[in-house]
Amino acid sequence: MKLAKLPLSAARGLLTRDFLHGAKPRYSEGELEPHVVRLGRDVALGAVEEGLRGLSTGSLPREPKIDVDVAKLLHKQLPLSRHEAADPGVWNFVAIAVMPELIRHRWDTEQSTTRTRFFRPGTRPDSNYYGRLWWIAELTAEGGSYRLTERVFENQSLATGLFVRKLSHRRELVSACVEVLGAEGSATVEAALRGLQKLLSVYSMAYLSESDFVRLLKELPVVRKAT
Amino acid sequence: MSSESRKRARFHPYAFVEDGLDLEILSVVLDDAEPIMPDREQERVVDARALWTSAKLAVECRADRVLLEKVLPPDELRAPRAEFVLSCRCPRTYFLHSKSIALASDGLSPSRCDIALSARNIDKEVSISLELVRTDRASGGTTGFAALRGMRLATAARWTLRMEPVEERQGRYLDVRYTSFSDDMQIPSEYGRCLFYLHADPMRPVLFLNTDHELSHRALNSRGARGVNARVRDLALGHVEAHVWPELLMLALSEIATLDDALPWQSGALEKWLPQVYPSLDGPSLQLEQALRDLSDRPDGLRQRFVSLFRAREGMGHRLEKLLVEVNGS
Repeated sequence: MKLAKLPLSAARGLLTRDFLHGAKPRYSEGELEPHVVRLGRDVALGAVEEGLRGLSTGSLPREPKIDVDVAKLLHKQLPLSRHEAADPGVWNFVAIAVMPELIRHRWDTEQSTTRTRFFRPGTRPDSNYYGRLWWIAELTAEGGSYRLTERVFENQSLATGLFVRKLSHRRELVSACVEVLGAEGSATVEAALRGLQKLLSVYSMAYLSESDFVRLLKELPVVRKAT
Repeated sequence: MSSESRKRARFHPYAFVEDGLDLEILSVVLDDAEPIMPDREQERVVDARALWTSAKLAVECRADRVLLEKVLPPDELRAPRAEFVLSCRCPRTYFLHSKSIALASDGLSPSRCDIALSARNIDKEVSISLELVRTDRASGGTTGFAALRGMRLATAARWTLRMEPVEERQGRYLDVRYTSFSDDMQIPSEYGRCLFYLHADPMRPVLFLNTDHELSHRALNSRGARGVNARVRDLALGHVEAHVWPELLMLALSEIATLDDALPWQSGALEKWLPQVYPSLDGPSLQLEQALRDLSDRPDGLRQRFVSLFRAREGMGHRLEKLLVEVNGS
């Protein structure tokens, strides 16, 4: 199978109740064919499929720990440019045509967000599962190293709080947050991120260095109190 | 005041000038093509819609003396502890690239620099912004001035490098387009002489209004509250609404019934009108549940309820009366 795109209009039509809950586990190539748009270059999906299947069979249902492995696998095996990855059709295709089983395995299909995890663009927790994880890896990887990616996922509250905000667009800021907030609970993480966001209305996010961000975070009352 | 026209005001705890810096894009070179000079007629938008892989932008930044005197302590004016920070952002690819640019030695002459962008990193458009930022802690009396490293002192109005045309989408719930029905291939031929045509695409419904009838078109676009044109406009738009809304509401409900999910225009339309269809039910979720039940059990009855609601709103008799008063003068 080669990577392709499923436009949003087609994806929405394919996400029927039966498909979401697994009563119809997959669409055949013939069923998908009328909706699929070619990518413009060949990206093989064999290793992605195999890797995702391995993660699905080797983990317990609803197990958040697999997120980091899925993120790394997708990012390594799908060498997309940001321009290509910005097309939600790519992630609709991965979620609906390549490995829908893993989304049903990872998330409770009775949740109201089940549907959006197959098609919503972005890096919110209820966005397309695969697209979100690829983008988190893209924003945290550096020179082939996924150390920061792994550290972000060690604290799910931090991963959620960071990647719903523009704060995540600067790797140095993500790194500073991991250093200062990596071991904190969700209430502290959320209050600190809100505090930092407020500060960045007077400070330049584009100018500050990682050590500046660390200093700002450590000066926040909620962080001082926690540490 | 509508939400669209409301502007959020931010107050800084120190001297700060919004949009006070000068930021000019002097030229844009796409690959090895001839430089593009930004069109002065286009408000800070550079059209880069050709196919390209790399772009080089020549940029000029400047702060004038009045601005520097506003945002820097007097003892710093000779050697400002500040520099420009130029940022390119693409929200669709989470791309943020920044570059620091030193102020000219006199602090006032323009500073120039080049920025390189790769098309691989961006999608649709890039915004280019400029800030003046403190580079160091202030030493002397700083009351009323930003004193810490990294604090923003001023900004410039943004530029946009556009790689794709902006989507034509005008309506909040509905895309409304004026077009000639006799020329536009999107309009089915049987609608050629109609005033409007609703393209009922659940993802993006479009209401086309016919510009072939010049006088009607002028009346529909009139902005006045009095006169024949205003009366004709109210009558015609009431008529269009009375036909279009029932179709849109039925379309939105059918989508939700099939897919368990609503697009923003669908939930917006239903939240706006269902309270008037089911006034005795409290809250949007109860109203939606009832509407979905009615859609399943008696769709014709539901459509009729929508039609009746909008016929009543249309007030054809009343509006016609007002038009006749305008025309006949009594």
